[in-house]
Amino acid sequence: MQTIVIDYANSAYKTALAGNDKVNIIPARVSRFGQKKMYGVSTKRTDAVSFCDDGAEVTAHIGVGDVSRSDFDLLTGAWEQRACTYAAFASLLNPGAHEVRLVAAVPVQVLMGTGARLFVSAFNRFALGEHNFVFNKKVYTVTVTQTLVRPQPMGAFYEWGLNDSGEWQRDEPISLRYAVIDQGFNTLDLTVIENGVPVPEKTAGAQLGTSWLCDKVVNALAGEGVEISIIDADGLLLDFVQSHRCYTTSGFDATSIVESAIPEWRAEAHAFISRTWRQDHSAAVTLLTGGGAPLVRSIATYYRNPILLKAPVTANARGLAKYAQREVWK
Amino acid sequence: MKKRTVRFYDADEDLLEHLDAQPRLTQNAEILRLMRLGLERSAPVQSLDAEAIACAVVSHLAAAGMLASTQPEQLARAEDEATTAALNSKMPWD
Repeated sequence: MQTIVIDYANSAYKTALAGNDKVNIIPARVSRFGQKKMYGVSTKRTDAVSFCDDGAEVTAHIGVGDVSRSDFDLLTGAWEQRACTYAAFASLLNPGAHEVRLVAAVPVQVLMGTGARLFVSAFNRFALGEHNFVFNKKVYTVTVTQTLVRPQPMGAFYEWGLNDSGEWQRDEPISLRYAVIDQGFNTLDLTVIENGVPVPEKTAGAQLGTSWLCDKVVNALAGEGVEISIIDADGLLLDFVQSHRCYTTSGFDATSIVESAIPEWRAEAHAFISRTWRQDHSAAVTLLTGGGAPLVRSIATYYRNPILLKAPVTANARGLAKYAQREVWK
Repeated sequence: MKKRTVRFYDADEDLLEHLDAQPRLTQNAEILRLMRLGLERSAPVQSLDAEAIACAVVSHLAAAGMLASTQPEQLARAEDEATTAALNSKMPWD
């Protein structure tokens, strides 16, 4: 039986098969109203997926629309999640019938405290069982027999700690503490892992993802009479991090605007991390992951042995694809 | 007294000083590492003094049969088992 990993990130789902480091990226922007407006290099998809949602036939277009939803109710069976999950399945499986196990990576906030079990129950009501859908005119029946739900930063820990067979590959014992800073598009997630398990009091998330910074850039550019989307702003940030220069598609030099926005975000992010970890420097290493990880590197000197993971956008999914090979299924 | 070659958390400096002073336990740096594992499973660090923690650790290791052998391969196997158990741990919401 195949095991599918889906990292339910806000801007795009990252999906892989257990034991395979090839990660597919499914844009999480989706429309059921026939909109064709697209932004950014990763959204040039016109994939269509049809399925039945609460008795209604839905045809959704993947990678279409202005923004993706950012609320956590999305993750318990909303039609947007269903459409992108089916696109993820179709990116890994041939048409026809399949039985699979599913590893789901979700933001740490939904796995905090007493709400964690409720969330997982709701997620399982969506995920477990038979899913019938048509993707680009090809028919699929995917039956999910088991699920594992893990916080996204755990994927980074596995990516760093495990070899391709899912075995521990580090000289450092797993009993030490390992910190993870996961800078996603919507959230900044933190966790400290000890003996393979997150330490609850050192685990937290905040709405301080890259989109927080993108909003500032969009508004500042609007003040200059330059209209861009939040996705365009994300591209500007990436350009700035890589080359310290950035220009809009219309040729406007946005370098100074981006440069002046970053310290504000950095202060907020650093304050959040300090509140959560309280000057605790017991972690052996601090792993930086998520699409915004290169930004975090600018504040990582505060933390012990920071390591920027290779290809941080997909690192969580790759790590869980390693982990899913282990005997962790009931 | 044999010089310690493995260091863990700075916060446990007092504990490790104490353990260093126990010659029977410091013949092999691997033992210190296993003691660390035993410590985490047997005693709440903040609530006991160093000597009490050391006693708890030794009891734990003895109960697990770890003190009976200092063969590197057996110690390595014990460590592998601990790593496997940690990686396969269930989460609170599982």
